[in-house]
Amino acid sequence: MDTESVHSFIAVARERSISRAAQALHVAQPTLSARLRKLEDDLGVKLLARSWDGIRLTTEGRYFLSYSLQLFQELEESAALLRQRETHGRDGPIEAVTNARRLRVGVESFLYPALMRPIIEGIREAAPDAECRFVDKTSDLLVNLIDCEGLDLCVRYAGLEKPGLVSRELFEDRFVLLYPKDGEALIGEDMAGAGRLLDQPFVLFDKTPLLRFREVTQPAMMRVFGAVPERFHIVSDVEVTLDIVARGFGFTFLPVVSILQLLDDPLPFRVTLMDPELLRLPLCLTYSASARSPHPIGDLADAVYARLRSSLDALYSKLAAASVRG
Amino acid sequence: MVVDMEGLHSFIAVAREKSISKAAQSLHVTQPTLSARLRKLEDSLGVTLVERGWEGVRLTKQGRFFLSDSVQLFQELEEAAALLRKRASRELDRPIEAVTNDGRLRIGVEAFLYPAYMNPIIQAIQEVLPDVDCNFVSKSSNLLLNMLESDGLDLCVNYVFQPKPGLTTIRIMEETAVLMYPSRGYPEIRDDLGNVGWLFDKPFILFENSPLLLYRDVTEKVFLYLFGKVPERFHIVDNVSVAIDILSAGFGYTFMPGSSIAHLAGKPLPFRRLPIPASFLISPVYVSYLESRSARFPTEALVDRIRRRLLAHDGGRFG
Repeated sequence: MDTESVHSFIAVARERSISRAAQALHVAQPTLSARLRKLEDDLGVKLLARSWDGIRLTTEGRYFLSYSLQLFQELEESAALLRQRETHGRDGPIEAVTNARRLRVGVESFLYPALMRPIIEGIREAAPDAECRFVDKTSDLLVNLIDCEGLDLCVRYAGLEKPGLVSRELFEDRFVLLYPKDGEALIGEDMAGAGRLLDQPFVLFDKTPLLRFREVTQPAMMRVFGAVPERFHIVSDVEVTLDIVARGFGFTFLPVVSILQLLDDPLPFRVTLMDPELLRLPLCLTYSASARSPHPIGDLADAVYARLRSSLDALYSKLAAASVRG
Repeated sequence: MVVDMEGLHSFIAVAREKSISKAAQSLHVTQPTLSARLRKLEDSLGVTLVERGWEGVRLTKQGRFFLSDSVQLFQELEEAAALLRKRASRELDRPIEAVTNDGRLRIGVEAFLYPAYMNPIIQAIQEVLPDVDCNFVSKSSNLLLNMLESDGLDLCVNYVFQPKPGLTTIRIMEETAVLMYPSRGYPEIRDDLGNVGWLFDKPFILFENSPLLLYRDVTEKVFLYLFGKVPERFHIVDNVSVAIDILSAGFGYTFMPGSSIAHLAGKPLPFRRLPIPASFLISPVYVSYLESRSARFPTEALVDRIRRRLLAHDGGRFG
């Protein structure tokens, strides 16, 4: 995808006019129009609707805009920090963020609420004085970051694999059905009666899980509910999902590990373990075999691995007890 | 200033291939073209990203820092594009229809606030619009306001007062910053902060990106207020919940807006907390929405209910 076009698209959306956007970007109007057309051709959808009273975004345009904006803004912020560092000299925090000696650990966004503690304990055991940078991202992005040495070590779901990376399987995660305490009969592990949830919105994750919708999510929905839901809430975050289900505003299924941190208290919703044949996700610890790092990455990986294994086993048996049998 | 995208693409390729010539090959450009693009990007940022040495190229520490954001930019944008392509090929009708649907209520909540405030916000939505389908976004305040302005959101709860024509901003409350430090292995800090200097040698948990851009205006002032100097050890995080895990594990200390931990109320806290009595740390919380959008939803009624629910909320995650 051509990022110059993406940038042109953002300008048009902001200015709500091709001519004003062209002015703002210091390019000719035909150039700008050509870039926009190229982007639309590449995506196969119309992003802009031209009408007599100007330009407006199509539904698809609005969707794409929110991602474009978000990512450009984050990049601008990162560039602004680098520039600040140059103008303000080498003072503490900006130096700290850009410091390459720091241990950089990535954790899949579904996993950090439950797994951050054992990961920290493992790090303290192998490298007690390390200063760390923790990032939570999607699994594929974490692998790409390890691959270009943007991270030292990550905990993620298997999926994208790259040569030269060491991956040790930790666990095979299953899925759990999460639904409100609605006063109706409990849904057992045979999922009988789960179809009644379909009058509420299903809480759906945008992006990566959605890309695998047809292969993974949709068949599971058919087997569990007998149909694909018609109403959805869209989220990008596990914590928001938990709040929605706890408030009785929707239902969903999630990887088991993403709710393990809640098991010390009475659960604010109902949970039923799903058949591992429906959905399963191997969870692994990944690092680069060849990366140059000032840290003992092999020792760190061993310590983090051991801590994660024992805490996953303990947490998972707690969950099996909380799940409703069929 | 706009980041040069061609340069960015070249930079990611060089980082991945660890070689200018291999990167040039993979992008189907000549080596001099690639080098020129890289130099242009470096000039625009004012820093060197790539060091050319005997055994090839390697990233400088600024290069490594910039890399993770750049990789993310491309990957997330590619994923959004892949979804749209699937929509174009009618492969994913229903869920994509839902994600791109205009009829849904789109609500943004500042990332520091959502763990504590999602529950009352959802409650307010349920009361005013019980049958609405929603899209929830949690991001930095500046980004939420940008999205609001380009019609990517219907309303947002944020920290930034930005007077703009057409934008209505309502102040809900004020919050103060709270110093947070582990219970185990740390002495109790006195209310008058008299012995706060003890924390200085421990790693400070620093939030990256948006909050870091306010470093000069906020964070550095707090360091000077507490210690008279800037700490030397840091953990870097991008998320409130990770910061809380670090605190609970006794691995570092930090300060945050008080409401960032309101969802932990009602249980014994796994760390200690102490308000920092500095007037420059008071931050108002706002709800903002675009007036022109209010026809789609009863936005004013919803905003008013959110305001009342937030004020009445006495903490607790699912309370």
